[in-house]
Amino acid sequence: MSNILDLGFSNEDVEVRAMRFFGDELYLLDRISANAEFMVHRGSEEGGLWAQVGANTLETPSDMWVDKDNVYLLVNRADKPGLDCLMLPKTAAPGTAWNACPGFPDVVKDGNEDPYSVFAKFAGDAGDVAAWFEMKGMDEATVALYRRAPDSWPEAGSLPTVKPAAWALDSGVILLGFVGTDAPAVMAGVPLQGGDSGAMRAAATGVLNVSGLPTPKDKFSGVVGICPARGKQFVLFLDYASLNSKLYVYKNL
Amino acid sequence: MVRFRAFLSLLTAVPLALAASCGGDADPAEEVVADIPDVPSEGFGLFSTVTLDSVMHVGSFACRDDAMFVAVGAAEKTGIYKMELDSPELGWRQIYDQEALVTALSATLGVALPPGKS
Repeated sequence: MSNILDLGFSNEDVEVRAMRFFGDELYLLDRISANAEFMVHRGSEEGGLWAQVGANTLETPSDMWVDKDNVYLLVNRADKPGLDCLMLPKTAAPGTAWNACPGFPDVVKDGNEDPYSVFAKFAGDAGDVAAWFEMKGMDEATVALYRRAPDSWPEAGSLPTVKPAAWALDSGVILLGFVGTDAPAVMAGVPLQGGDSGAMRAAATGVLNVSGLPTPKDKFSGVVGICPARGKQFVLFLDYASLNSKLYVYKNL
Repeated sequence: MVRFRAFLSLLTAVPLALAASCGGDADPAEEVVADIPDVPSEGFGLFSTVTLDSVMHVGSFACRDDAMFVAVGAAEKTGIYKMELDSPELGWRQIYDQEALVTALSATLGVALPPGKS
């Protein structure tokens, strides 16, 4: 099962690859039909008029983030393996070219031995954002974490783990959700501070008390969303079960 | 909260103690782990008894302090759904079906496109 949303691939009408709220504004990273270019749209949950933000993205995006000023995209580089970050003001007119994110980490392949990213996601809250990258070419780690600072994106560690299906930042704690029968449901307690990957690995052994969550029955089932809200953590658990799938919501007690 | 911090400390302390007793080097992560903010650790319970069924694809997910949103591919149920945190008994309410979404987004292109056409 893909982490990215496949919305309506069955008839190729529309795909929503990422969805973010900022207040009442709803932002979608989408494309209309499977062979079209991706776009960012700003609208609302109530309907009404929508507006495109910036130009169509020629590179394939994997995620989008929105803060009080800007929209950020994680996109595949066209010229070499690896991902890059593009940004624009939220109110940018349709057709406006996307700009590179200042200080974004170099996670592209420049040489044969150079580690590079193959997939990435954002997570954060109103004042904090980090990105994890599924990496290739590193000794152990498959997931590398970078947290945005005022003028840079310093590395915040790496995890020798399987790719998470969901993740969130909750007051500085990272929460990772997984699918599959042989992965932990949720891992928590990774402080995204400093760049000590050894510290990251050790902290990641602190597993959140996940009692009460079902045990995944197949490789498609598990935690597909984590929502920190009101001091609690809400977890979306997908019980895939082929054609009879069910999406459950659990909450910390 | 406090128990989770203690739990994490214990998880780290036990391997450290074992490593020390076996002559291994102490893990430098101890100080970092001690800075972990409080996280509830009482386990999970079902928040809503209402499920979203026959979901084929999930991944685009957003949350606010008052609601969660999920966009799913689910055959005829494809669309964007909302669950209000104050009303879990209401389950998932569809705020956009596929047709409405295509119409809304296509309008920004200047020409309204029928579904499936680019």
